[in-house]
Amino acid sequence: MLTVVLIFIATLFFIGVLNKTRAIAGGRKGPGLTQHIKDMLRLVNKQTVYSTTTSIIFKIAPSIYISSILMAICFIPFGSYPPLFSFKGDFVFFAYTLAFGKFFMIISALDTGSPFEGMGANREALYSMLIEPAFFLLVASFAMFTDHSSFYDIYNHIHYADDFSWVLSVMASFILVQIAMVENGRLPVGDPKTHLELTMIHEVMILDNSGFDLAMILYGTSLKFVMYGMLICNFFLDSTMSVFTEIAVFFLIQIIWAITAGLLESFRARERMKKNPQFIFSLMAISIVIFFGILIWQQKFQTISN
Amino acid sequence: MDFLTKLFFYALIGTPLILFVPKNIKSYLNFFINFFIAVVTTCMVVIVFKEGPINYFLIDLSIIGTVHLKIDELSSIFILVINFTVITSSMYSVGYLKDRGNAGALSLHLFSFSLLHASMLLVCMSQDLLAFIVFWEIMSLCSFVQVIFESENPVNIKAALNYFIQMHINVVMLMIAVVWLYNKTGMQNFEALHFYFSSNPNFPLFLIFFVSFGMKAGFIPLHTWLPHADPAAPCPSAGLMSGAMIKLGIYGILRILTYVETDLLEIGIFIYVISMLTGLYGIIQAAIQKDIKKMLAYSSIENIGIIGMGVGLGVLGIAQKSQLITFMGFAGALMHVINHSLFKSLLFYTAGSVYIQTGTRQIDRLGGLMKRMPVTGVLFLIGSLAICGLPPFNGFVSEFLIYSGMMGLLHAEFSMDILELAALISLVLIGGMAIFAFTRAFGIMFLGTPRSEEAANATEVNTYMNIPNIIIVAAILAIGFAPGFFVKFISGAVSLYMPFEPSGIVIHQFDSISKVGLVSILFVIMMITIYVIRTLKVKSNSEVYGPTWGCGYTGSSDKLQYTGASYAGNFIHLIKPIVKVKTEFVNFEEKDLFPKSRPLSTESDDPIETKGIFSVVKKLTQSLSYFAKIQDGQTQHYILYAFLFITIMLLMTVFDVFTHI
Repeated sequence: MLTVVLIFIATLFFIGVLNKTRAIAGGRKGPGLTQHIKDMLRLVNKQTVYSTTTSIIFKIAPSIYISSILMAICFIPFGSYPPLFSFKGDFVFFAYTLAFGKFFMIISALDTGSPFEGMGANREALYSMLIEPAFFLLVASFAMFTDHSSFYDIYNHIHYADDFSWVLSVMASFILVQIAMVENGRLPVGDPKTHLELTMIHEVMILDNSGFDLAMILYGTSLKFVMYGMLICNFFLDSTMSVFTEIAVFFLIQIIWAITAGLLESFRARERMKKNPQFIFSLMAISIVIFFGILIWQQKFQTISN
Repeated sequence: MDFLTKLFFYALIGTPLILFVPKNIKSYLNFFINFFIAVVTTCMVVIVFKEGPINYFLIDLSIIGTVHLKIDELSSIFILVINFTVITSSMYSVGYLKDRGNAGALSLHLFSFSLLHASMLLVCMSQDLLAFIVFWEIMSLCSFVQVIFESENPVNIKAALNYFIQMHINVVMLMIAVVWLYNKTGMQNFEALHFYFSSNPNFPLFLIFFVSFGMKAGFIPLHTWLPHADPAAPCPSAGLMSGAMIKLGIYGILRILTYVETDLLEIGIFIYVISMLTGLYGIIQAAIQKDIKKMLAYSSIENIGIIGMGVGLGVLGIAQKSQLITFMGFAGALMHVINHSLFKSLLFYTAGSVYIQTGTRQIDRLGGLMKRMPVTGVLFLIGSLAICGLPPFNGFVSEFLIYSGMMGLLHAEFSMDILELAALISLVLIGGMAIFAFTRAFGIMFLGTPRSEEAANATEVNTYMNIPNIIIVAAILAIGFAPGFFVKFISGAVSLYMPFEPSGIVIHQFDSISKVGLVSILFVIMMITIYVIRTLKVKSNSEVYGPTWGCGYTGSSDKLQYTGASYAGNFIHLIKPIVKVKTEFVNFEEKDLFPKSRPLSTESDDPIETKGIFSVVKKLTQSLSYFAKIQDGQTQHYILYAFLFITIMLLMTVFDVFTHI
């Protein structure tokens, strides 16, 4: 339960910090830290416009998208506090639930019959398919490392072994940061702020959404960022810490993560769309490196030479 | 023979009735006969679950002698899958075949349909290998008749012949295996395998069986019949073939595996790796197909790959002496057999409804059907979500079981870890590509604006045609919401592979499977709640309708929409090393001032078929063509051959060659 509350609090400022960082890096003053929440509240009370081409899919998709993210959040623990649901192999449910939401966003983009949104839908489908192995390999590596297969057990057994786990945590954080950037269609795979539909992924999918639906989708993006932040944060929580230290660490990491994302957005160049698969494959390669790193650490290579 | 078997055979004797009744009630009669057979055999299965395996002996059948039939836990599951699929298929075909075919073609089609049902059931029951081959052959022939139903199209005839020949290669392989077995043990029932495997190397004989059964199931590179036969067959039959018949290949493999004793590691790795490749290859092909039925056929190959991964995992579990992996592997495979039979038949039936109403199977000629055929659209969507393995539907349950088994294998030795790495990447990519393929199929077919006249004028099918589909959806949701019950239900069959009772670690897994169901229900409740809140709020804010945002362009956007080909575009670029898609398009010339309409066509091929099978066949034909020179049609030459033959015979007798041989 604590996870859900903390994530909700963090969504209030995450995008604000990110946008502020980008503004400062770009030499601008930038909007206030809670501007994105104000924007959402404004959208909630606005009239909704539908395209006449669309069907029921377009209306249900945003609700399903945000439910899928909320559902996924229910599987993430906070330090030694268990999540709402936890069972062996829950990370599979986590990933597939998110995929369920994505499925609906993709078809809702195709529902409008717009060439732009079709483009976004197609890119979303391709990149989320390619990024999936990196995440699964990462979790599988940690499952192998800790001998457990639920988020809660993995996080709680990670630092028992020795200091090698901290190396792994840093590498895992790196991959999670990159996965979060790809999953949200941010740089280097897509650029939300170019005002050119041809270079966007997420934003071009939701051109026809408006009002409450758009607010939900935007809030979903915040939730997704913070959710990955929570996954990263758990690597650095120790069961010896007190609750307040843990919460402090959580907010610290969320802020660092928001600033990092802002800096990455400011100083990274967008890849050519054709090169994106290569970039995503490179993330999978790093996951494989972690996998082999754990194999070496567990001295399984030696059994062959003997 | 007891009461139930008698009923079963009376029903079989009743099948020729289909040939003689008036045309308009043929498909109703077909449904009732199949329903009757299904009820009878389901009663048998109920007895098996209550009292354990039952045996029947059919005494002195004319050709094959006494036949031993046995239903155990493994055959029960397949019998249930067959019965369910046949019932929905024959129910759907009542509507589908209404105005199709002449009386003769319809008679033959429906008669062979009933016979196909019976032969599939008998394949699952038969204990004698000779009888098994006979039933297997009847099954292949009946399904061949299913494929040639629309014989006015030459493409269908070619597909059917392709199927006919490949199925006979498969029977030959089966016969080789049986003869080999008979030669070594002197027995011709499944028990012979027990004696053979305990004293001989297991892998070679298993491999022959695998080639035979794998051809039926559609493992690569033996799959090439499937993408031709399924589109050729009418949709109810295609659903039955993809949903139930190809699973009998899996049944064969699973049946042989109950007897295998040694070489488990090799067999496990073999099945595991072949299945990964099958899954990946199947879904890569599915994602680029233009014909919806061909796409579904390739997706069947992908799902056979997932089932095979479960089987391979289970075998590796036995080799590693791990109960958890064995249980998860086989349970995942069997669960996926059940699941795939549900959603694949659903997808074929709904694709059939679209075909009836629009007359086209080309994805790129459809569009906007969600508004015109809403019920069919929702049903197809549920099928797509389920086949992608997304919660809260049933496909997730089986994939979850297989993932859980994989997690167990991570703690084995190094070589297993490497295998696991490959398997994990494959299964995740298969899942991702399935989402790609099915968002494409659903999105292009049912959403956006119509891309052709036919699609624009489509209307919803009759309500009764959707009844079987709704029954299937109920089953899909039942498995999705109460997976624990169904996994317990199949654990009897899984225990055939586990020498001892399931221990605590396996029972602990039941816990997480039941939780999956619970969480799925909560997920659905959450979606509904959020949607209701949203709708109330949106209604209070007022809604307006307008055209799709066109970035300033206000003309018709029908032709601007993404098509199946353009949606697959960047994916095709990615898979270029594996599958090449040829595009035929005459580009604009320098002097073309005004663009005229010009054709664009894309063509993808199956490299295993064109580079593998065709080149072998070509070489074979070339070498055989030398013999054709002898057959030149001149009477004098034939007399000369006869003369030469007699002379040689005479000489051989004179020199007494025969006694020396």
